[in-house]
Amino acid sequence: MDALRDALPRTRGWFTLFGALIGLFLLAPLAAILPLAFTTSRYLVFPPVGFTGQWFTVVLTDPAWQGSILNSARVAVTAAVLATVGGTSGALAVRRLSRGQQILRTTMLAPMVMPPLVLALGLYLTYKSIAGGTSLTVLTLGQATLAMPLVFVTVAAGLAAVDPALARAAQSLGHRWPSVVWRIELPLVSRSILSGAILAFAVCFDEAVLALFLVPPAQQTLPVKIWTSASENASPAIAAASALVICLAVTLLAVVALLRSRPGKEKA
Amino acid sequence: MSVNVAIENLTVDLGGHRILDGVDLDIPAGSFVTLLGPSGSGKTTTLNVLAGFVERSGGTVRVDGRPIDNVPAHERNIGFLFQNYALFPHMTVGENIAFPLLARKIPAAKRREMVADALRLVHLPGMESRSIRSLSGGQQQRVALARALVFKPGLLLLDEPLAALDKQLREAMQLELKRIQVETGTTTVAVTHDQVEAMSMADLVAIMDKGRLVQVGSPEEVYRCPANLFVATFLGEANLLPVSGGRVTGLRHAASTSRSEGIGVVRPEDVVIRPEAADDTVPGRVELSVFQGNRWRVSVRCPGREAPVVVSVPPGGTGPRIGEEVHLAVGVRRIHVVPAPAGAAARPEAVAAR
Repeated sequence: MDALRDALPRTRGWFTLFGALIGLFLLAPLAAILPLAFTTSRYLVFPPVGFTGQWFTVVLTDPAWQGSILNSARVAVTAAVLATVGGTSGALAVRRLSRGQQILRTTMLAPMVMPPLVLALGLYLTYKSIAGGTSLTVLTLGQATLAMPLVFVTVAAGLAAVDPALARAAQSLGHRWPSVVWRIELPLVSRSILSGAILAFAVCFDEAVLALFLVPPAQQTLPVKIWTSASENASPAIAAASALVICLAVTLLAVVALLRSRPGKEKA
Repeated sequence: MSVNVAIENLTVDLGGHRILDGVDLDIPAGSFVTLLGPSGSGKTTTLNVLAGFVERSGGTVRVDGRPIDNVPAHERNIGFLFQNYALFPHMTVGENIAFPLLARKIPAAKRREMVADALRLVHLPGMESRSIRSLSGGQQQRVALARALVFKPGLLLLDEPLAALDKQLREAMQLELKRIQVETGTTTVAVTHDQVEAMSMADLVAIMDKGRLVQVGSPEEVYRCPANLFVATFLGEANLLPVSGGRVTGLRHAASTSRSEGIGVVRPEDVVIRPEAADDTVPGRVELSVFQGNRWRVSVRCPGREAPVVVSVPPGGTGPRIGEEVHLAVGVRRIHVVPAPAGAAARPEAVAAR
């Protein structure tokens, strides 16, 4: 026992060191890109020179950059809403099914394991042949499919904390199932649904694989714009745009963490 | 307002197991029936079939003569009190109790009035705006009861209503449940595995074992005249004495027996200690004497008997001392005898513990 207690702090020290190294490895690219957003050079080259906020102004005011941000936001919001409706419905349905639960659960999670490249290519070829081309609508549908498992998992976890007797109680008190869902289950998992929706939005906002295949040239989304800029003019605006995306992601994750940590109504 | 319920040849199969095996039970309007049995006896399943939560595989349930087998749970107008209360944590006490009224499209003003009445019934007046989390376990149960009764259901189902309460509260709530049932006159079916609880609340006790109904009767009936050995041992303590030829083997007694062969069920309170030997007494030596508040529980070792005879002695005065020589007599005129189960010879004589 004593030997174990002596060994514990040291083990914890190694864990901390290892974790820090992994963190460093993951965050190093950020450390490289963030300073470049403030460079006074006209090209995206390391090391940064001087300090200016002009690249942020460019990203936020230049019509091409601005348009791409708006496109991304529009697609991500719509896709997140679709994913939330789909994922939440799936989670509620799995709970109600008396058989076939496993089949539905697997179906809901399938987009998680399917390579986005395959989905992108499939959508691209299909819409090319039936509609002559793709559009932001197709991209929205594709991203909603990608994000749906996230919402499904989040809401299913929330529902698992809801006592199944509550639904029975509501039924015995005279409520049909739609009323049970609306008045009991949805209010009790509202936080899970909201965090699922935010995660879905965050994933869709900077989704690149589907976007590269499906975005029409005139309606670039932000990741596509970053991609084309990098190959065309290598402007430090890329770094500024990336910094903004990172800030958004961190903020959204913080909100989700807050939603999960606050003593929720889900705990009965 | 209250209804009678007839369960006819009810069978439930779940996952390849026969959970209920042909249960027949008549529940008269306005009565309080407890389903009593060990876990796995099918009592909770019976309750869930009545509520419409579990599909039956065979048989039928009639309420006031009409089959309700195809009526969905939300149309049955049955109040159900859940073991863990199942109160909605995101609603106040008042909203919880008004919930069934909402489904019945009762106008808001009338709703408020009915909620207040229901809270008065369970002795929690004016608690409408409290949150569920701020209530004690006992209060939560009262709120759950008010919610199950506010829409004046014809039938009230209680699933292990007292299991989650501590002992003192449990005894108070037993009487409280009985009071509310009498006051509202609602036909009530309660599930319990506690025999004291079952007997103190019920007009009728239905004892279940292995998916079958073993015996139905008033608490006194099932205690005094158990149908078989299972009921005799499940309900309270009993001395089980082999009977053949109308006599308890190896015991002198004046009492007659209800059948000539089988196992005699003699409750501890049916045995009396006499100061002197007589024609109908058996000598014995006190092996243990324990004071339990409402009685002395005395076990007496009699020569030639394998198991000690358990005797209840009224608590007044000093109890018999350990080692004391006593004379036992059967204090009832008729010994109730249950049929010996197959292979009973293995344990001819035993004391059934509580």
